[in-house]
Amino acid sequence: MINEQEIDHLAKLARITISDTLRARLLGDLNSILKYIDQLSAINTDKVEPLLQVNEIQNETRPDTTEGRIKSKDSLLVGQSPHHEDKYTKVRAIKVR
Amino acid sequence: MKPISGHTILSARRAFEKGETTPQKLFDEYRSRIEKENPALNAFLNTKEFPFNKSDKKETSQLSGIPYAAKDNLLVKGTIATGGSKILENYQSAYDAEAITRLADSGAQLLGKTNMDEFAMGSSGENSAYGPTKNPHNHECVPGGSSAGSAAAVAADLCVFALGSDTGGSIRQPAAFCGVVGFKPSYGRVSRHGLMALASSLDQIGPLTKNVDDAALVFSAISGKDIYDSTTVNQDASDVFNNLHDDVSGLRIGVPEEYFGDGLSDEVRNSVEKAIDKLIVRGAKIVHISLPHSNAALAAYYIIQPSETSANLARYDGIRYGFSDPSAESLTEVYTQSRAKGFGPEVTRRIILGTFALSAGYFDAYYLKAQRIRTLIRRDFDEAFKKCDVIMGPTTPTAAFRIGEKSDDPLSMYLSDIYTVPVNLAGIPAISIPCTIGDKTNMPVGLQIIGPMMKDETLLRVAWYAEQALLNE
Repeated sequence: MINEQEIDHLAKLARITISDTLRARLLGDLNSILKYIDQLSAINTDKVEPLLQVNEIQNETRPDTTEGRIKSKDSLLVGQSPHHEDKYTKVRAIKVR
Repeated sequence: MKPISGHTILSARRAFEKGETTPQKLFDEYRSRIEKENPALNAFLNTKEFPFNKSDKKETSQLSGIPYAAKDNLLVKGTIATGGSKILENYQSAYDAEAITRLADSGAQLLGKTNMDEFAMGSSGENSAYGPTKNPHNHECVPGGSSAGSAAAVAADLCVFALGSDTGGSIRQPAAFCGVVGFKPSYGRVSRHGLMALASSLDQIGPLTKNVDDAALVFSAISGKDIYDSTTVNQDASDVFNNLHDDVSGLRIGVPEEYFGDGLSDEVRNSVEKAIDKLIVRGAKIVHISLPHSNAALAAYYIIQPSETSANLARYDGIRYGFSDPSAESLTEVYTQSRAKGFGPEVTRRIILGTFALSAGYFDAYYLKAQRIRTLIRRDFDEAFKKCDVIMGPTTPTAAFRIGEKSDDPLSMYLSDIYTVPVNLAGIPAISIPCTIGDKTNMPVGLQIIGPMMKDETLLRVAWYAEQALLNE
């Protein structure tokens, strides 16, 4: 079971502001989902390896070159930033006095 | 079961060849149909950015000139892609999804983008920031989700075929609810490049179509190795249609007891059992099998999927693109308030749940545990496929439910994916084909056919065979 303080902590980690109404709703929803998920604890997985990928492929990298299919105008890239100047994205003050 | 009305890929091809219509005429006809029908259905979010593409390319592909629709989580360069979310209301795609490129290369004509549950999280289409899509069979019912608009558009003949994406059933479940064919290929057969990521180890693009022939044709066009998605495999699918009608005599159908247990409605049970009986009459052999970890799959899914989602959706930060809250005063507030105002309740719920499962102290007990269960689920399928060629059962426990019926109870909504989720966890291919119209709800029922890993061609052959048996009654 998780409590209100934990919900607040998770919201902080996830960088989402939550209202009092949403906190109350999340508390109910998450606890009922976690209760359902709890059935997994009855399954013994001591000797089972986790399945990290399904199709047995090897790690693969492509050449580190820039000639690619993605050749977009700046207007579609940095131009979509809500605050930008030339080719730079502007962010708000990191610390507010 | 009656065929779905309107053109299939092959009937449109024949009409082009006979000179009965032209690609431009057919495109315009579908456009008019959308204008007329869409206000009631809300299947399409955007058609205005997608004009008929006049091309002087030679017609070489079966898909040349065929009008289709794409789910709004697939990128089409220079056009809006919302993913059903308010946070991307004005987002312009910076490049084309690989599946879109491949369809464009084959000459298919994009009619528009379809409505969906926000970032593909949902089983009813109700989680879209742009209002729910209606089921064409009954406007008071949901079309299923998350590929809600794609399924509704095919069922209402507002396109010849559509693309969707399937993370836990998002192609197959709406296909079942709307009475169309929905195919989720094996993980790695179709590039995810340019698909908005939900849960990267589970997501797969696939077609929603009016019949199995079309599903094979579209799969053949979009499948293949792509250097921009390193999880794609080098397996050629160009012959899948040519071999689709091959004999499948001696077929062994595995019927898992766990898919016919509690929670399955009588209507769906009867329809699916009758469908399987028709295949027995035609000589298929039934093998009773067990997939012991079926019930655990949904629980494991609701750890793995939200965990991957919470990481993938961290990119929506109000800084680089998408909605940014103008009232935010600090950098942190830009993140926290843009996300609070941009995401809907289901997306927030899953991000918080995923953050929980990945957080210090819980990782081993939840995420790692779920990944171990995932191994057991895959083993269940591997064991089963030693005894049978395909597995058959219901796609969903019930037919389409009413709008609003489950929207306040996330867990009961999640349970509508109980038969589809194990397939994504295992990575294997599965298809839903229309079975009958249910005698109680008068809504379509879907038959799910599941195949072994990378045996998409075999699966489609069996699906075609089953479709013929169900059509010719």
